[in-house]
Amino acid sequence: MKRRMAVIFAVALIVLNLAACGGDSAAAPPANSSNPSTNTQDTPPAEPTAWTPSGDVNVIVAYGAGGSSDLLARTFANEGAGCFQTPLVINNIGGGGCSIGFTELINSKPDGMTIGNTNSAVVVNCLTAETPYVYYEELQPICQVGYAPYIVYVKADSEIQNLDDLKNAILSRDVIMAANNRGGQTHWELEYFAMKNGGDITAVIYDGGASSIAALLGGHAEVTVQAPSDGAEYVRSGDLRAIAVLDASRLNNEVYKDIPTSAEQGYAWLTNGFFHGYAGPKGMTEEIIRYYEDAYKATLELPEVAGAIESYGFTVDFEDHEEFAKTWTDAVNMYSGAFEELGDRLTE
Amino acid sequence: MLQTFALLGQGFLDCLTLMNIFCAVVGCLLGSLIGVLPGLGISGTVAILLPITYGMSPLSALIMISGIYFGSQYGGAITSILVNIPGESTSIVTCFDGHPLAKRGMAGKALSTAAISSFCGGMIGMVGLTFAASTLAKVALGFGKVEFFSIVVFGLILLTSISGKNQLKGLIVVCLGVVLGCIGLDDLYGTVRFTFGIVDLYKGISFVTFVMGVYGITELMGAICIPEEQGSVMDFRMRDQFLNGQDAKQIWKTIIRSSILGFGVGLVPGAGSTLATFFAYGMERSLSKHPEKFGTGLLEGVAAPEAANNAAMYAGMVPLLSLGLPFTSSMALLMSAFIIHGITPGPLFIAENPTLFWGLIASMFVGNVLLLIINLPLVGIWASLLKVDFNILMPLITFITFAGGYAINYSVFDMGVMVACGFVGFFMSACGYNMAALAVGLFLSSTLENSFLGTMTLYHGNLLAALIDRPVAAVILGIAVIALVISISKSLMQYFKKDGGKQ
Repeated sequence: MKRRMAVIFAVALIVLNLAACGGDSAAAPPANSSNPSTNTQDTPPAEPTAWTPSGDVNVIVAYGAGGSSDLLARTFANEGAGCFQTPLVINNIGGGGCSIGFTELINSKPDGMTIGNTNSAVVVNCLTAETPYVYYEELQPICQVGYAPYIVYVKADSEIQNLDDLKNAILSRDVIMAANNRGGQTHWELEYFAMKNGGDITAVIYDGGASSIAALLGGHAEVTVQAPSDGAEYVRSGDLRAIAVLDASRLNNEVYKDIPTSAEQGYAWLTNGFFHGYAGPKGMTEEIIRYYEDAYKATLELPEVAGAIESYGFTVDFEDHEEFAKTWTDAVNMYSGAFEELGDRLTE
Repeated sequence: MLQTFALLGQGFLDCLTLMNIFCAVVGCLLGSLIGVLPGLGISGTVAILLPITYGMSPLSALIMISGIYFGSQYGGAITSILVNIPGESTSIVTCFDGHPLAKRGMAGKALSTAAISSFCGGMIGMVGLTFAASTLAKVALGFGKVEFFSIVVFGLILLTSISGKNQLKGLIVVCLGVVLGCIGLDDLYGTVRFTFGIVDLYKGISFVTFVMGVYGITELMGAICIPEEQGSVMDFRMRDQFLNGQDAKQIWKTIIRSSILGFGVGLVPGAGSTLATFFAYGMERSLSKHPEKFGTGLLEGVAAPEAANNAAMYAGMVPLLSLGLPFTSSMALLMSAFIIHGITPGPLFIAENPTLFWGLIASMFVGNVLLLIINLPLVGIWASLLKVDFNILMPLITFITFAGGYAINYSVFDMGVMVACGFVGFFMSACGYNMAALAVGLFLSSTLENSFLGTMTLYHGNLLAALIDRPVAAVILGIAVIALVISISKSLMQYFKKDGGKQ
């Protein structure tokens, strides 16, 4: 028995050592990476101080695979290989209303080897829920690549044709909406809409866009707010109807070009959208940030990438890390105003 | 109907090229391998392989990726049977009878049963997918929060009765599992629970880490501590390792029943294939002439869950292919494979891409046949693994377990969690608490909570109103509650009888 125990412990310890080595080697590259760059200084004509990743870049997406954030991040990973000169490995860490993925990103080393996709949730979630961190303060913005408005959908056979119908329905009966997470994007807009019109709406939380849309198709909910990409196929097939684009201007897209905006319907105060951008943990150097800004900007200029972004319902809209930081601050002000008015409607 | 056959025939022509068959073989082999090595999940492997498939034609890429899914489903059964470590939630039930069979020197029989049941389950599932995808998708959409809640409760209660002799203990363990599943950030409100301020616990205890602990580490500790097993190298003849006519007669009904049931339960979005394995096992046990033998190493006990989980996997593809709605992360990854190749799955997918859809269906048939051809000859090799000397085999298992525990999140903390779960699991199993119920409680915890909270929101906190409004859910929940009451009163009666006897 003692011998067996010894054998098993020995192997377990060996693995622990290997794991420890793994940790070391993850820490080692920044030290090593200065060597290759000095060695190869004479070969490439590029500026010698430029930072480049020393291996695969880990891109954290705080959602499960298959959603629009994930698909866009994957488009950059697949099409941008030439611009990044290293593979981008998408790491889906979903759940907990993005908090698990963002926490992972905040706690990763600021060595430029881990970055993450960020969207409006970095701001919205901190204002509506108890989050482990104030994401927009703990993360370092890198760049924004696109913007998309949210869209209100109902089932195609619903009697609700526009926002006025929705308002009347909310005022006259119990309307059930499907939201992708509590208190965040896809939830607060309609609560706000109901409140401003003096009514109330029942929100049921599903885990993501696919489940919310399934709830609409199966008749478990009447209305939902989703990203343009998540509903497009169902509008095209005639299963869902888009009743409003929550923006000042219409989308320039085959599926949505005829859908009136909330402003056109007389609800200009009901606009909301989300940005798609990238951020990393605080403490990354200027060089790292510049490397990613340049690489994302270059990738955006590829026609396939721009085409893909538009097909997901986004508008290509590049912002560098300073402009992106301002977008975050503006969003904090805008949302905190709306959420203050909503009070505890989102959490009850 | 005739048109369906014509399209399917065209699909076979499209997919039977040398390149596509090669892709299917590579996918199946890779899948079996990742099924055997814990910590290397389907999602991770497919994510790594997606860029490689980028240069292929869409059909070849999809064939390879679906090969990985089928292969991994079978690979999970291999570790369950040989070393009692289920790699995924769907192969937990396979351990119940698979491992006892292996201990009796019949590992090969168990593996052949698993391979053949998987094959048949897959075939029956595929027939359902081929001919009724769009009708079945409507069934899948019918599951609302209330139905979800009642079917999960039913599944958990059923589990307490199939996973051990003492149902009261089973119930305790399931509840403990559900509580363990609450650790970390909660899915709905993002509230931090049971973490005691440890940041590493925010993401919760991952299912695979937990299973490697309560099965893998527990098994290792058992090997250290239990003297009668010391140094015993299994002795068996190779020709006993394959199924004979009598075995086939014993299991064919089980396979067909379980496949059909598995396909039906598999339509429940998300947790369907895990639930399907309990339901199939429970059904077979109650139909059997000798239910008491289940759990001691019956071929039916391997055939039922394996046929069910494969059939359920195809049912899980129904919402993806006919509506473009992925309900699990592995389905979502399959969907992104479609999208990367320029196809957006949605309600119009089948109508707009008939060549691709039928090619994919045909390739599933081909992949399933290939998997059987590849795996049956390997059964002998896998089984003879148990003949390897303890001093080589156990360190190997130790290595795989620890490396797997680390590799899931590249986290040494997770390795610690795994060892802790192993220690607790060892003493709990020694006291007769069943680890399967614990693991599944953890696995279904968040589904249970989300569906319960959703029900409460929908009906403003009135469960009775919910059940009156949704009769199907009410019936399921009613059966579950009756089963629970019967099992508890049985346990209590036993307890008092024993007590009375003593006095």
